[in-house]
Amino acid sequence: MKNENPNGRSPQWWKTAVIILAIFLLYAYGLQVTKVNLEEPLEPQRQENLVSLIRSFARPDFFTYDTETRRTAVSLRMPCPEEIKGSQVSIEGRELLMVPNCASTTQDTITITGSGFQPNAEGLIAWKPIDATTTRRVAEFKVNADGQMETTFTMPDIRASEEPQTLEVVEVVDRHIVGLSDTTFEALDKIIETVLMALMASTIGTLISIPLSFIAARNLMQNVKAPITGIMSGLILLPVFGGLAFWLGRLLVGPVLSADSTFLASLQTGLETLGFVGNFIFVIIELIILLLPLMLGFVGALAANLVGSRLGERVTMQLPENTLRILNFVTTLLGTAVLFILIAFSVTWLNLLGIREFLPETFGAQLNAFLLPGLVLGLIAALFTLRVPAKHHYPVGLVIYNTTRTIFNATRSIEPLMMGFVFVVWVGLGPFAGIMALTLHSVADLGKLFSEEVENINEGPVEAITATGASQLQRIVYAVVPQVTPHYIAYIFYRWDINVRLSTIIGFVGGGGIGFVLQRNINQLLYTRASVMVIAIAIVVVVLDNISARVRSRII
Amino acid sequence: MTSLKQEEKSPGRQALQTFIAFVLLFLIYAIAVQVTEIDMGKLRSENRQSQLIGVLRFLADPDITNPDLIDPLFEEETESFDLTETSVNTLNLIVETIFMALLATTIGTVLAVPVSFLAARNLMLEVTSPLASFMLALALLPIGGGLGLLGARQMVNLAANFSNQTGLTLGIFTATVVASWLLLRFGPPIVTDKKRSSGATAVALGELVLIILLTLFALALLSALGQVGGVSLANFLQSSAFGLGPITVNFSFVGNFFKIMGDMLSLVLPALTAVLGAGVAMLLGSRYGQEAVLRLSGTPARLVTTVCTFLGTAVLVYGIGTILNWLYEFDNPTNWTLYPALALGVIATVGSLFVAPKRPFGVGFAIYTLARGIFNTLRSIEPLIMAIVFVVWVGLGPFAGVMALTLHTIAALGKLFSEQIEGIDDGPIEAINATGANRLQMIVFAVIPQIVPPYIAYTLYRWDINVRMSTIIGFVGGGGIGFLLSQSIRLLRYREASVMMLAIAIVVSLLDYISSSVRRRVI
Repeated sequence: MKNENPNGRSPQWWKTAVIILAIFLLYAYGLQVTKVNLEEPLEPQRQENLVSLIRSFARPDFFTYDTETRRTAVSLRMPCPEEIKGSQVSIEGRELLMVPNCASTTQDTITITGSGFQPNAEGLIAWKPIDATTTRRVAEFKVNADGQMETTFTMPDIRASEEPQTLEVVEVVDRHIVGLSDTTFEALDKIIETVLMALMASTIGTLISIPLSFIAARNLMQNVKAPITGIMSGLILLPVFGGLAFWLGRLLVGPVLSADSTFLASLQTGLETLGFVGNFIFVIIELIILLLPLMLGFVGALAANLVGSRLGERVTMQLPENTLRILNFVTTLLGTAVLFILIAFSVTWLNLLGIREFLPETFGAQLNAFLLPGLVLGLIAALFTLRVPAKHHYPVGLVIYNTTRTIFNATRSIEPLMMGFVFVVWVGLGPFAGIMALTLHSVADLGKLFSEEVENINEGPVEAITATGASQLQRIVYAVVPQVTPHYIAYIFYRWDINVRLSTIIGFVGGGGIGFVLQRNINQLLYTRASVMVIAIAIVVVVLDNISARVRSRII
Repeated sequence: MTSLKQEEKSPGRQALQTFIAFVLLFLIYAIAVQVTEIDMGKLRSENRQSQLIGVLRFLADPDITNPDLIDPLFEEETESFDLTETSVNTLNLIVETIFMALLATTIGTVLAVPVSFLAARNLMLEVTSPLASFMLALALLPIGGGLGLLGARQMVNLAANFSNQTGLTLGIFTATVVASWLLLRFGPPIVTDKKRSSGATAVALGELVLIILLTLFALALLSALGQVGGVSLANFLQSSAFGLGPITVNFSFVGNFFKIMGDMLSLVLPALTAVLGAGVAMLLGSRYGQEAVLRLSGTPARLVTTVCTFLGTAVLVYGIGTILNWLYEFDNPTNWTLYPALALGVIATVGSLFVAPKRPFGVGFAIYTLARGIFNTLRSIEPLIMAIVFVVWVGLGPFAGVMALTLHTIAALGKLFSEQIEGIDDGPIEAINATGANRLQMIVFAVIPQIVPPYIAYTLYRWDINVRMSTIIGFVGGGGIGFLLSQSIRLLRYREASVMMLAIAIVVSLLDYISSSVRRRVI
């Protein structure tokens, strides 16, 4: 339509001009805000920093060297006597001249010139102060190609004494590699930790996200529908069953976890004799004990929902219309109230927006405070059910799908490094915090990717299996799982690559791995050591990327 | 065959294999648990749990607005909706964060597009040339690069002389542009199909050089103009020009933009001219080398090949030696430059005697492998690690973050883009080639139309990543909201941190949503 404008192209032209102006202003503002200043990288000091950084990075601290040195001693007076002279030394063909041979203040400059040294050798001037146990480095020098050296320096401090003191001209004659440096060993140690962190996070994350991904798949969930009584009786039963199961779990593990129990400690000492295998078994046992109440509670809640919905379904099918309406009314009233109270309690526990300030402290008083609004809300919801046909089935599945997806998306949008901060507060500095952060992010990320794969499956096999009268579970196992397995494997490898990369930097927030050491080295300006770490990261990431690409192409 | 073999496997052996695999897996995970110090006791510890609950409660209660306080002195209610300092800082920094991502994505994409062609296997595999051709190109490289650098430097220095007088600079700029236009329009034609005398060729060559110098001078003047004019424009707007009051003050960033662009031009101009000069020299070298070898035959061709090989190898080794010298500051620089250059030059020359002069070498494949290797290595280093290095160079602040993100963007997009090129349909290429098109035309008309949609998709994808990255690059001092966030967390100010996390979550999801809807519309 716009192009057919008979008056020419002027409106189009204006539009383009406005867009260009807007883009120009956007970038101009962007440059201002991000403080881009091209004079900064050109400052001599900054360039010097960069050059020294690059040169140090080119000399990674891989090896330890054994140095063979030759020492030439020269005596020095502090403070200066009345008559200031120079002193000359000549040993084994080496000539040394020091002018002057004394210092009274830290501003006095002393010059040492020498000849007959090993050409191109490096060296330093060492001073052993009176009543000190270690020598101090006063200056460094470099011998030229003709075996001559000259260096000018000032003494770092003046230790006066009657006796002449000794300066030593230490010249490095030979340097040879004797073995790998501590930095290399540390890098090896930490890179293994890094890779294993990624392995743990990927494994646990995958295991948790697979079952969740089916809940977050639209095509599987949109058929899940239930009558109102079913949903509501599930909700009413939820705290009862869940709470009961949780309490049971607590009762079971309580004696083990209580302060005066020595069971775990003795188990640990017993298993420690098996080395790392024992430690692994112990950690698994501990995990089971720790998770037991939670798991039982979860299973209880699930059972409540199952029983509630079954019951509701049966009742809905059998009861006459009017009785059903009354039942719907009552269950909705109670169910909504329970839901409200549950949400209210979790919000209170979390202190969302500082809500605890306005609420009573004890559990009972809080329950009292929530009861009335809960019932009022329940009443409103119950009144609404009267307007809907009694046997109407509500799409519970879609609600669950939307909730899971939203949680996945919200969690995914938080960077693992930020999660790392929170987990460091909980479990302290170290790789464990990093693993937990990476695991949480992996669950959200894989959950979303997996569920999208489930949504993209071919409906044919599902229909075929459904036609045989299979249940929901059988449908998933025989029609969905075979279709999604290759895609799941591909995504697991993709996530594994990401986790390896992330575990190299999660140390920046204290989450363990090589990042922690790298940052420490850079902050202490130990660039040659940092270089080893960066090289280790690059090698490991490239190699693992290649391996995973190869494995992926073979499997899929 | 393989299926037969599998059937032959005895069940016992299979069971044994599975068992060994399980034991191995068990051991790997056991070691992993040991090395990564997984300790459930820490989860159980009452003290740590209460600490966590405390932090979660602070995080759930972000410090967004000041509470309604009644001032005890005046007994007057303060403003009811009053943002805290944290919220204001967060707003400012989140804007900074987004712009960091914008700049990094833009610059990174612009630079990644050309290099992605170098890393595309299907395009580069066909690029082959005889030994003499690419060796001559190598030998001419430093000459072209040096000339370009020298010329551009001179012009920038010349232009800097006028930079004090804006009016004069503007005048000279206009004059230069007009002069070069006149030269192009009315001077003798530079490129013709006709044969011409050597005198006419010399005139045309001189004219070409003059036009190049004039263009460089005009660009240098433009950069000086931007530098000076930008500052005065910023000052002019700062002093609320036109009597418009505070409106113009807010737009003083426009002046700053011109200043930075001028800076950038003066910085980039010599480097760019050097690269272009080197490129032109290489192009000439490879063309003349190829022509020489193809036209000549027998001994002359062999002679050209050996000479070119010697020169090319010597230049290459000398260049590498110079870089090593700069890096390691060797005691005897000549030991690393001249002598190995001569020695390897002789060795390569001897080697070239055994090669047929017209035999094509896969130069393109070498370039492809090199480019891919660089991309993969750079991609493997996280932007946060790069940011640490850039912070050492340009100091703490968003500029370091922008540079780190840009570098990573170039590597990541370069690889993704080049894979897109490799995945294109060959039909259009063959069709265009059949019309007798040259390489450039083939790329423009057969390759580019196919790759535009995926390029846009990947750019948007990278934009999403850059937004996320720029929120955390501040953890290492690279600017953006991350710096303040890590500061608040280290000082245990979780309510402040909560505001920033909330802002990040909102901005990231919002921008994700926008970019996904844009992507859907574009593709």
